[in-house]
Amino acid sequence: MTLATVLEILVQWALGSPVVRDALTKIATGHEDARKVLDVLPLRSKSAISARELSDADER
Amino acid sequence: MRGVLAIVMLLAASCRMPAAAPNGRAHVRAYVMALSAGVVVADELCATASLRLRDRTMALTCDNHYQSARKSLIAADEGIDAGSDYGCNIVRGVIAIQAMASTLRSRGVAVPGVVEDALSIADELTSVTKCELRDGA
Repeated sequence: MTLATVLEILVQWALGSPVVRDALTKIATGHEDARKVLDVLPLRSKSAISARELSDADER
Repeated sequence: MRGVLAIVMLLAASCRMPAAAPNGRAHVRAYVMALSAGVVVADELCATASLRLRDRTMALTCDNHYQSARKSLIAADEGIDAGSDYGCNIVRGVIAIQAMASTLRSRGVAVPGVVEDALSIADELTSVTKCELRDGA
């Protein structure tokens, strides 16, 4: 058995592991970062922007 | 007025939340994202309606509820990741989105499906989080 064969077996084993597959999927899809509430809800709301627009309009 | 009082009483409550099992945690995470989606849509509606109605008070009220929901849901999200208490932060998020929906309805604005869906899971959320709200804390 050559070194290349041993390495191939190790890689195949690692890819077959659910933990490794899960980690690779997360890296590939950016899953960990993509579904954060912080990204969905920006600091400044659209209501706040509207309030500012109405305030500016009143001043004019 | 009664609704406002109820919200104040609920917000002034203390709560505790045991760590959820992994399966429960996955469900709670999905709930939090559904609530966040509802908050986004409610905020957009508030912004549009307040401009149309030239109602600055409405816009400010919605922003106030938005900030409350945002703070609570971000804290809940972080709590889920850390495996720490998050139940009452979710409940506070629910209260905030309910307040946004009430503000919209009070101005004759129909609440869309994504917000209704977020509100419809509130009861289930309360049972999942086991957050016990008490007065004065």
